[in-house]
Amino acid sequence: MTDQPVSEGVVHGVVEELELPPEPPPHGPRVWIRENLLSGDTPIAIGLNGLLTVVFGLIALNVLQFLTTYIFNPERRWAAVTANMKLMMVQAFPQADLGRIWLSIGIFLVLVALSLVAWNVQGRIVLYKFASGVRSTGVFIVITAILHGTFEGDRIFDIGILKIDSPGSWSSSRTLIFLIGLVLAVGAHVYLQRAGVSAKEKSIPFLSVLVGGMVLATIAIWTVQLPVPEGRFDEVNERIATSTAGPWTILFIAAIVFYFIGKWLVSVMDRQQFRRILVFLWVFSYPVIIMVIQRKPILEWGEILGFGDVPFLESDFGLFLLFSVIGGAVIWILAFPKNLNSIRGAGIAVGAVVTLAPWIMSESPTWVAVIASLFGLGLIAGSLRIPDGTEIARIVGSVLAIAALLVWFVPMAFLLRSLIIVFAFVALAAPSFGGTEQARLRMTLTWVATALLVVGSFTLGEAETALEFQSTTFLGGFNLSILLAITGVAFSFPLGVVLALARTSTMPIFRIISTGYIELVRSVPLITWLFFGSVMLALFLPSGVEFDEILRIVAAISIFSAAYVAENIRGGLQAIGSGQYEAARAMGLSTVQSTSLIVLPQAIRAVLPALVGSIIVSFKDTSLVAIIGLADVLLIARNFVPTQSDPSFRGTQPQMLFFIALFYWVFTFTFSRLSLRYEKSLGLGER
Amino acid sequence: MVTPLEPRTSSSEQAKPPFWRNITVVKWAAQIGFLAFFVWFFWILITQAASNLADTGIPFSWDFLAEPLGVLLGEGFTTQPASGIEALAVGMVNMLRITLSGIVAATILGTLIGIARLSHNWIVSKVANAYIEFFRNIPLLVQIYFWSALITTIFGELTVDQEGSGWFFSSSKGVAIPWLIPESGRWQYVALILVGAVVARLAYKWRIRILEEKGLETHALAWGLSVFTTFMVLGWFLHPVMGIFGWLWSALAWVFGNLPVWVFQLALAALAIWVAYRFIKNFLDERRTPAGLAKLTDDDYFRLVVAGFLGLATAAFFLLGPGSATVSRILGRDLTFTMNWGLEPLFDFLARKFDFSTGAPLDFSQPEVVVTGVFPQYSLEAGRAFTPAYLAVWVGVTLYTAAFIGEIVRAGIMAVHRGQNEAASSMGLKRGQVLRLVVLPQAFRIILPPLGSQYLNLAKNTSLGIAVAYADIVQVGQTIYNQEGQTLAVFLIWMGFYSAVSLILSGIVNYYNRKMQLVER
Repeated sequence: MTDQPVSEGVVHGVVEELELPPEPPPHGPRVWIRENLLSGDTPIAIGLNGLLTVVFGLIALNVLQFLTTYIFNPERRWAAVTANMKLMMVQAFPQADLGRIWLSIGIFLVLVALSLVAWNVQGRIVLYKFASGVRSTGVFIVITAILHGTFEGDRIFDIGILKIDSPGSWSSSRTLIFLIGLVLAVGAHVYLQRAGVSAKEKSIPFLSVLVGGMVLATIAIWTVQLPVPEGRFDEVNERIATSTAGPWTILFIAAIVFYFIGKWLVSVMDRQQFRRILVFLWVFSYPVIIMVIQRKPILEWGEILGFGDVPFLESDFGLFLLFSVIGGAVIWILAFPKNLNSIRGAGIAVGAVVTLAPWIMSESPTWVAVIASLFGLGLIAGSLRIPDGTEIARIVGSVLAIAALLVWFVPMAFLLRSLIIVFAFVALAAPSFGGTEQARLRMTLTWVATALLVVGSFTLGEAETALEFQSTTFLGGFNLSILLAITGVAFSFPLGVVLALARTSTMPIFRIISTGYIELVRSVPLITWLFFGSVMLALFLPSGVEFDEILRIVAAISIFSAAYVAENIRGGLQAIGSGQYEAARAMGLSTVQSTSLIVLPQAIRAVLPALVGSIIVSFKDTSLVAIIGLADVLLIARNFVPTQSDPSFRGTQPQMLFFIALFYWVFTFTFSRLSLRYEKSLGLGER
Repeated sequence: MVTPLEPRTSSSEQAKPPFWRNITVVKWAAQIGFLAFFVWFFWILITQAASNLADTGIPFSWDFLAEPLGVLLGEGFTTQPASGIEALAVGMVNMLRITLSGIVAATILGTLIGIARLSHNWIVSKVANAYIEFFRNIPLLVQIYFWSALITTIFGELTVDQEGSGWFFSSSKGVAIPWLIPESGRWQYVALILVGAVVARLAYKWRIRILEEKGLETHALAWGLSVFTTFMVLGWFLHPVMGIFGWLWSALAWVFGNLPVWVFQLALAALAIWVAYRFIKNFLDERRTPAGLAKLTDDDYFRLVVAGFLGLATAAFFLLGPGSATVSRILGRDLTFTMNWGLEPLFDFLARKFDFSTGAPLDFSQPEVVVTGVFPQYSLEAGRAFTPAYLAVWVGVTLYTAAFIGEIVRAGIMAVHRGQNEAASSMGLKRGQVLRLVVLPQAFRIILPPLGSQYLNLAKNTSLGIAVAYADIVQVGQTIYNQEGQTLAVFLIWMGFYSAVSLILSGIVNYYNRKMQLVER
């Protein structure tokens, strides 16, 4: 991102206003109705249009009436939702440790607030549009309140297809809702009439609407009381979500405070730097939240740091130190081989290690040692003879990659094996992405961070959790749904990029394998892959290696969505003209460099809307895990609440499903609207 | 200033890079290395799975396909399948039922919604928009659960006093409606209708030709439709004539029954070689120019070699016996496929259906509630009963897919240039005519590819029927592996079946897509 940190949103807004059509002559409701409900040139056309209006109007009114009557029916036991909210959100997570969940949400909100500053999201909403939105909402509320049907009481209007209660029998809350809607509608309308044309020029920042929403939500949490009509909770007339009022308020305040801290930070430091740090925080916050904050691991510091009975070099910290120092030094040299002698030395040293190490380790098979020695000796010879530093660096990387694959046949700790393989791949990439002092530093730091991530996830993964819960896992409810969605995307994205590159490659074997994978995986529905993950995946693992069911499901979801991500990215790759490749070649970039630095970023940018769409789809698809019995929010709401919680909630299944449908709808709808807005303001997917 | 060229240390070094920098060598070394790794990786997985399965005492086998199963399926052409393969066939047919009827319904509903979304009528467009936003933002599984819960709660129990036939029944056991039940004459009738379709098409083309040659209004469509209708109406009474086909079928059955196996093998081998030959020939024909041939990359050579190799290998597979032997061993003699690839039984079956029988093709029948034992239920013989599971899945996938199709139709119509609309209006066409004659045909071209992928999604989404115990292939497969433990075999069957359905569906869509594409000259 080299563009100046100008406020894209503002620029966009100006352009939009300039392109507004000339002001149409003001017209009244009669003209509006004539044009929008009864349009047509001939009486027959007008009549048909009127008929359509009446039919569709009746359909809309009846659906609305059904919904309001269903929701605000005394027979509905919404206490089943409010009383089980914690169950649906986090399932078996212990009550005493709920602060960990709040902390996770807090980290998310703070990062969002900081990102809003960093990427300068300050789109503005034209006041005219906002006011007419408020007016429509008000009208909608008024109609809803009028249409709500009670089962007894007087009717002022009662035919089969439309029933309207007489206002005399309205309950007080219904009157209140009606009045709120009326005030909103009339207020907004009066404002629009008064302001007239000038309302089209004024605008308010989008963020202020967000803050207003948070303030309103806070007020609602603290004040609104819900009558709970039936069941054991019938006397209770409690504030909604009493126990969450405090945390939410604090989190909202924290988000706003951090927004201003972010503003201050941007003013004192480089914006690019700030963005880079934020990306790093986003990436790292996720494993930290899952593995540390929510899991509450019991860490054996003696084993980790290597005092006590574990030798230092076999402890996690020792291994990390060993790999980050020696590996870091090797990467440092490989990434920018300025000095021919130093790279020759590194090549000879690596060659010697690859040659000798398999013989020293007593358990390695002979054929592995022989092959490794051949490559190691070849590397030593090459290092001595080849006069080009970068060339040697590439050969070192390749030999390390081959050695890393051979390591698979040597019995050793899984952590060690993983570290060697990851190191080999970073070393392979180092010469291509290095080349300057800065890039060298970045590559070395990348390696240290990667090593930390690998060692950390092993340590934390093996540690027992200190949480006490009555379930097989502490993850459940909506928490699990979100975890599955994010992890699935996080794992499937790199795999999808590789598959897309392979599928568009000119190398036939890669192309065939990738095409075969994509087509085969996509042709089978997700649910069968989930069965594969939950029942069959264990068959392919060596006996003794066991993965948690959630991990296996994550693997299955990743296998599945990688194929879709790959197809999306392939669309982007094909949209990038060959001129980009040729220009990159002309600049002297290698194939790897031109693909990863020039073509791929453009391709991903071009298909970002599609990728966001597939994230939304994968969020909706997480509900499928309910079928194979993972306790996600759907399974809890549909099965646990109506059958296993309080006896007074028996038979609430339809209404729980109704609630869950609404719940998912609010999330997906909001997310898709926000992403649409953001895409438009950045002009994504338009190039 | 002219700088003199530096003398090269060695001319051979410049002309020929070292072998590890030779692009062809590097490319192929990487590919072959990766292929070796890939094969090795799979080999490890398979041997691991085999040893794990051996440890559990349930080695991999296909035996359950032929063995009788003691399972009872929820619905299908038979609920007590005799063998594993029959149970799976029931699941496949059930899946296809929902897929095909769902595709038809979702296309109609989706098109209407897409058009309504663009209506000038404010309320129509808003209602359509609300529909789309509502249905596509809720997970399909939740919707299916919701319909299932709704059907079982709002429809009452079926009671004994409802016994007897009627027009419409709805209860927690599902919905029963009148239906046309196929009778003995249906095969001959369908054959006659197919003939009618061909004749109608010929008549249509003939009228179109006259229209094009003489410029007269020839009512081609009316002609085609009336020919077809005539065949349908007259065929109801005249269908026994098609019995003459019965002779043809039985002759074919005799021929296939008496041909020696090697003829089939030879024919299939010849077919394989012919397909490979056509591929190679087309490939080379496309690059007939010298420049084109010179540009053949190693990738192109690879394609040619692989095509030739596959053709020869398939031919050898068929010729050298293992082809027919493997297939007949896998599927077994009991499963109707014998050495002649099931052609003899097929034509024998057809011959028995085309027997000059004068029975009506279809019979109208009203649904009926019968009481067997204590509980009332819908009669299986009369009318048509849809189970709650079927209804929930069908309504769910139809409404869900219709929302997406609505968006696709809207986008397709909007993508047609506004000038087309204006030009058509200025020629004096009415709004409906503009839509029908100018906009929709052009929009269809844009709509078709995404529509095809929605059809594929719908086909795959029917697998969610397992959540409400609809006996589709996934549910049947799960029942089988719960009983027999053959998880991998069942998974392979799922994969094969869904791949086949996807391939056929996308093949049909691609065929139409090619036909609709603009021919650029």
